[in-house]
Amino acid sequence: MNDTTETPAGTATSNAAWSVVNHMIAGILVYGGLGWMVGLWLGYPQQGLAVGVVCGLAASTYLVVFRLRQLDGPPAASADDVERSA
Amino acid sequence: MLSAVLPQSEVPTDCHLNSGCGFPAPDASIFELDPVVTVTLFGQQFDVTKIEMLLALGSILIMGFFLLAFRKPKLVPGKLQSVGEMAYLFIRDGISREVIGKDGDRFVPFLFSIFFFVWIANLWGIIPGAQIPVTSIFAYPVGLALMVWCVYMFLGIKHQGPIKFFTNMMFPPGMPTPIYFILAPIELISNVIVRPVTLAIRLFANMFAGHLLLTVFTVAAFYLASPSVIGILGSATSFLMTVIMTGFEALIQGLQAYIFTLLTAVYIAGSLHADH
Repeated sequence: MNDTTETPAGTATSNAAWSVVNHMIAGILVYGGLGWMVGLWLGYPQQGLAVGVVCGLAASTYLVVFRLRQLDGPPAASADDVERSA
Repeated sequence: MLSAVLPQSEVPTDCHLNSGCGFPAPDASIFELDPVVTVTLFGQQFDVTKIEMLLALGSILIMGFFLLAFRKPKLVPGKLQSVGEMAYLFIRDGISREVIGKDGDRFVPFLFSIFFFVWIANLWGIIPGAQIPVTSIFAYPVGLALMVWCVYMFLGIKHQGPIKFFTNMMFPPGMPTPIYFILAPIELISNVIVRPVTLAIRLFANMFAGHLLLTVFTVAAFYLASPSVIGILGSATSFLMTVIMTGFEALIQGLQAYIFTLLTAVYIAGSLHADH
């Protein structure tokens, strides 16, 4: 626990955790919509929507994982770096 | 508007298991109440229903309670003042300091008002005589969510600058550059559009579903009441479920008010400091 900062440790993580649902919905909306429009242009709107939704879900999952991992600590001290330097 | 088009559905009280009519399942029309008073202001007709009256009464009750509690604050608090102080500390220490930190203290009045307003608006759902949560009408959660949206957008623009606010939101540092093109739209849509939508729907859907559930079990208890084994057992079970679900609703109502306030604090925190 870090007592020197004004906000308690873990606050940033829990704040970010609350936005997971929002990120998931936004990913589906943005890339589902984009996929649908591209599909409309190419003549396959339904297939485009399906591909877009899956891609959007993948992108937002990556975003959520990235954000939460970043909050764990500074990137220099992440587990990968420690392993690499060992 | 809608209530003028749709017929007001009245649950028939003489409809029982063996009287030949089917189960009068309650539907969304139980949320469309008859106007108690109709007011005409500037040529526009306003229907005042039980919902608006409960809303006004709830606001007056909260204001009255806290005015009484803090009217003459003493160093050694009386009973009422103790309850009021507990409520204040719950919001300040439990939500504001926990989520925003020390500089969140100036938002405590806002969070405090939101929590108690939403809570009493929800609580009407299980208070005998009232028995409909104000927040189960979609306009009220939408209004609250819009207010929260205005507050956190304004704070973000004020504290981080009009351009910085959006760039901080869209480009968290430490990401490979090509990834930004894919993820920035998600961040923007998520923070600006999806946030208030989910905030409103979360509160509304919980209260709507809770009220519908209570109505289904209450109507079933009346409908099944008849001199037969199925009738007696079914009616008793439905009545028991009504009681259990009422207790459950009491929990959900407090929880949803807490979550709404907590998320408001989270959004304010995100606007005060960029997330990194």
